[in-house]
Amino acid sequence: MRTAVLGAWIVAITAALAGAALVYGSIPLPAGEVLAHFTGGGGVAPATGAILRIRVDRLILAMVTGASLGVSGTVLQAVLRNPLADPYVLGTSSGAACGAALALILGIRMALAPPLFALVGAAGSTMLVYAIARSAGGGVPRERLLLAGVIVGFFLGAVIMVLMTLSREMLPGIVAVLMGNLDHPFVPETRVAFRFSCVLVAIGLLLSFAHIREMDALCLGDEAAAHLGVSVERVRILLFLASSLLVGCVVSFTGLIGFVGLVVPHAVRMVVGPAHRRLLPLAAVGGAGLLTASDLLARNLTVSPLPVGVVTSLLGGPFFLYLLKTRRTEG
Amino acid sequence: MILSIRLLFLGLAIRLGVGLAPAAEFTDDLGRSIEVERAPMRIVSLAPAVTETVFAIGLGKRLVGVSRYCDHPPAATQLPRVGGFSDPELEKILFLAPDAVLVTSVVQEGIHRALLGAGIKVYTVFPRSVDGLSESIRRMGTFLGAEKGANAVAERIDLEFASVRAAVADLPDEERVGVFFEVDPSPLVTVTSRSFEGSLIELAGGRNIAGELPKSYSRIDPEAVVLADPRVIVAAHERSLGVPHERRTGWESIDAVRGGRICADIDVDLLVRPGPRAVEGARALLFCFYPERVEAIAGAEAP
Repeated sequence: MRTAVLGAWIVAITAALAGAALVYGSIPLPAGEVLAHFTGGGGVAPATGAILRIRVDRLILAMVTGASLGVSGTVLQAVLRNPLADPYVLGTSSGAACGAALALILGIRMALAPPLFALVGAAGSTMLVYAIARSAGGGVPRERLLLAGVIVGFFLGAVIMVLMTLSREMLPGIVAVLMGNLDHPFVPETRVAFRFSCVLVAIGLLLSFAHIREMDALCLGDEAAAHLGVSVERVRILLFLASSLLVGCVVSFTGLIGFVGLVVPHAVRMVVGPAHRRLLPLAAVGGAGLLTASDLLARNLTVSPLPVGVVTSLLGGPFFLYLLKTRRTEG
Repeated sequence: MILSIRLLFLGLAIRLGVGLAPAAEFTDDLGRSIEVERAPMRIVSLAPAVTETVFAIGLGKRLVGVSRYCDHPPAATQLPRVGGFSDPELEKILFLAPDAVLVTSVVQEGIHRALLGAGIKVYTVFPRSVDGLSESIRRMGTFLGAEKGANAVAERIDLEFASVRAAVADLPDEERVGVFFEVDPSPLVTVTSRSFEGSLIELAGGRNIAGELPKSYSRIDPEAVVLADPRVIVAAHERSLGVPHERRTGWESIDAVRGGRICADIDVDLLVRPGPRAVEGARALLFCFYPERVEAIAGAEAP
């Protein structure tokens, strides 16, 4: 009962943040006018309507991205049974960003190219990490996976820098990719590409939610999970695939946003406990809320907007250190 | 005692004698002094605008190296390249054994220090606005021992800027068009009044909606652009073409988008390079802001 109430709080806070994002954005609008815009009432200034259309796009981008990062972090932490796992640390995000950057410098005009290339990049880097970590005996030790992920992530980060330098992109473009950025102008083609990405995110979510019981089992250890009838290797590969689907496409719209996938599962676990049937959906909601809040801060902390990834790192870093200090994380 | 004083004087005289070689002291745009014994004959330029200026004052033959981005006039592309704009390569510059290296400020402060450390004479060209451009060219001409050529270029620039300024002089402040200058669409970056581009906008009678933002180039929230409702959008950089303004969500309410007043065909080099071609940039902006006023300029053709 208590956890249900706490879970409801997470949903309520995220909903409130979404409302605040619509009213405040970077310029506060009269709440009455915002309401009138969505209820079809009159008296909405044309500029207000235009601003709100931009805001809704941005809010959806923030919430979809936050939710996918939160869920994929939860999934990876369960699969690797490691509290440090998230798509950023494991190189999945870097692989996706690499793919998106490649699509850009190849000059492919198709709006679907960046998300598709990003998806291939994410899946490719995940497979690469998995192949590297696979030991001679056929098993995949979790420590090796994490280490391989970190190294591949660093390597791909360098590849992104090379690609960006080759393409003579100016600094803002590089910063946007490396620091994460929700400032994405939507034109009809990119909107189609974004909807397509949302479908893939939905498949990733379904794939994750279909394996809630298996994730609980994996948290007990591979052997215990196997005894519970979980075919560990198959589930692991499926969940890696889910994680690639979740972050692959969105990275091509937002660049690399760190710490959301790492911090959200921990924070939600503190509130509702480790059972994935509660943890997973609330990590989606919490991730959406955290990224929405971070974006609000990013747009209002300084005179000109900050990249949102800077804010998530500023918030997430100290929070993670706090977790480290106060909790004995079970490995 | 007397002997030692004599010796001291002798030593002093010898020193002065050596120092008497005709070293002249110059001051660059940042007020830093540079001493050279004679006008530099082997010059490396690290900025496209500076390269254009050197050619314009008739000293192109003295250039022995330029940056990768120095592509105008065409003769500049034949010269050895010494790296990029923000990443010039020290060793390539030293290999050319220049008498002087012409740099710009901010991103080239690092190479400035490195070159000084290597014993190379470095002169900074840094006109902050259209108002300082001719002065900066004259100063550089003096340093290069080519006052005459530099003065001619500076006078022409002053005249042409003055004619653009005159074309909008009678405009009351409230009738000046609001202008949004897009440097990059994602994230959205614009120029402020502290930038050279910003001063060009003001010269051509535009009111930069982002004039008050900090720094020279600043990120700006798209919502702020919608709210400011500019009459004209200048989108000179290539990346903007991929996401046309009239198709961006929310931008359709902006005056410039509704009126189709988006200037995307101006050669961006005319706007971002504080060199002799900036006068063409000023005319292009004037045509973009007030097409009906361009005829006021003698000999100006629509770009």
